[in-house]
This record gives sequence, C-alpha cells and structure tokens, in this order.
Amino acid sequence: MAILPDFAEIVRDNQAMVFSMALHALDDRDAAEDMTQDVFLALHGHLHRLASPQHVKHWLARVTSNRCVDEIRRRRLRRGPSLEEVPEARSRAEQSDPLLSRQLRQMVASLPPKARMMIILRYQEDLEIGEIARILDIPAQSVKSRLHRSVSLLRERMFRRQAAAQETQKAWTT
Amino acid sequence: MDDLNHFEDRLRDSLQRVEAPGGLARRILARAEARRRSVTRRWLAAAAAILLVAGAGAYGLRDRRLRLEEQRMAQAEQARQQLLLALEITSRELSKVERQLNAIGVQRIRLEATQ
Repeated sequence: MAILPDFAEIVRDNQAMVFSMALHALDDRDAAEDMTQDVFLALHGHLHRLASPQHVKHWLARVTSNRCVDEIRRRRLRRGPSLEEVPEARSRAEQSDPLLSRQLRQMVASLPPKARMMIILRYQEDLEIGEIARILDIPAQSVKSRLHRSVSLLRERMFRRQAAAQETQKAWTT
Repeated sequence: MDDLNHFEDRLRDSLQRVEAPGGLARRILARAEARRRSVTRRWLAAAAAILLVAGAGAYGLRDRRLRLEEQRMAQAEQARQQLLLALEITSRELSKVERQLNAIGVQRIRLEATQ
C-alpha cells in the first residue's frame, strides 16, 4: 500500500485539478476558489479514512463533482445563462484560438450539471468512461451515451456559431 | 470522424487544467490549521467537562457513603443506649421484687420447702 503524503503535499499536488474542475464547471473564479478551499477542508477531516494517493485523487474528483453539480443546480434556480445565451463571435479577428476556447468553455459551462461534469472529467482530467461512471455514480453505458450526446451538441453549436460569425463578417466587408 | 477528433482535441485544449491562484494552498492550510486548533480546543473543553462531572459524581458518592455510615453508627449507638436502659430498668425491678419477697417471708417458705 502506498504511503499517504502529508496534507500540505496533497493540497499542492491536487489544487490545480480541483480548482480547474470547479472553474470549468462554474465559470466563476471566486466561486471556484471558495469551492477548492471547502473541498480540501472536507478532505482534511476525512483523510484518516483514505489509504493511498489514488484514493485521495478519486475522493477529490468525486466530492468536487458532487459539489459542482449542487452549486450549478442552486445557481440554476437563480437563472444562469443557457446554451443559447452564450455570446457569439462577431468578426474573424475575434475568432482567435483564445476566444474560441473561451466560447467553448462557456458552452461547456451551460450544459446540464452532470453532463458538464462528464465533459470536464473526460477532457480536462482525461479519465476513462468507467472511472467517470464511478465518480459520478452513474452506469458506464449512460456516461458513454450522455458524453456522446453532449459532444455532438457542443460541436453542432460551435459550427453553427462559426457559420454565423462568417456570415456577419461577409456582411461587414461588402 | 476527423472533424469529431479535431473537435475533441479542441475541447481538450480548451479545458486544460489552469494554475490555482497564488497563495491558495497557503490559505487552505491556514484554514485547516485554524479548524484543527478549534477542534482540539473543543475536545479539551469536553474532556475537562467530563472530568469535572466525574469528579463531582465521585465526591458525591463518597459523601453519601460517609453519611450512611454515620447514620448507621448513630442508630447502633441509640440501640446500645436503649439496651443499657432496659437492663438497668430490669435490674432495678428485680431488686424491687426481691426486697418485697424478703419482706413477706420468703426465708420461711424456703426452709419449709427444704424440710
């Protein structure tokens, strides 16, 4: 059995993962930082029950995902932006990679809570379907189909936005 | 399929891990330490309260035992005094009866009986 590193080392090793998951899920730096602190404080009280660094990582991913889903649902009650409300690119000059990435992140952040966490765990953390299923407590087959649906939806929206942006640019140049 | 792979690569690229804000780890450790101290203080307070209650309980029990012992001793002394009084009264009555018997000639009856 691997020896569990001390709490400070665990924080240093995993803070980027937890913070990034929260940031990509909530699209709000302050809220992501608060959530990261809360997740690690919860870990501090739970550390004696975890046996290895792998357990710690899994626990962190699971707790962060659950808290993000809860927070997204709470925010939904206060009406967050839907997929249709994410701002579109206005000109070709704005379609640089950072902007596209930003738009893509915003689109991810407007997916339903569980689908959002699946996308984050798959594409940020590069996790396999089985591991995502265990973290989110969902059957692997459901994860697979919902991931596929979400990616198709995001892709379709992205291409539609790009086409619209090109149309706008044409109109400006003529 | 290439389009899909390309899109997935773009998604992966957009969702790369970002650096945590500077000082975040320090803030987390400070909060954890503050909480640990607070938990320790609560445990100490609870332990002190338990010791206090246990001490008071033990003292109360000891006090009650002493009082019961004193009570028993007082009852025994009272019984002894009553017994002594009863013996004294009996002895006094017996002396009185003996004197009366002597007065009515018991000596003569004794002599007649022995003859």
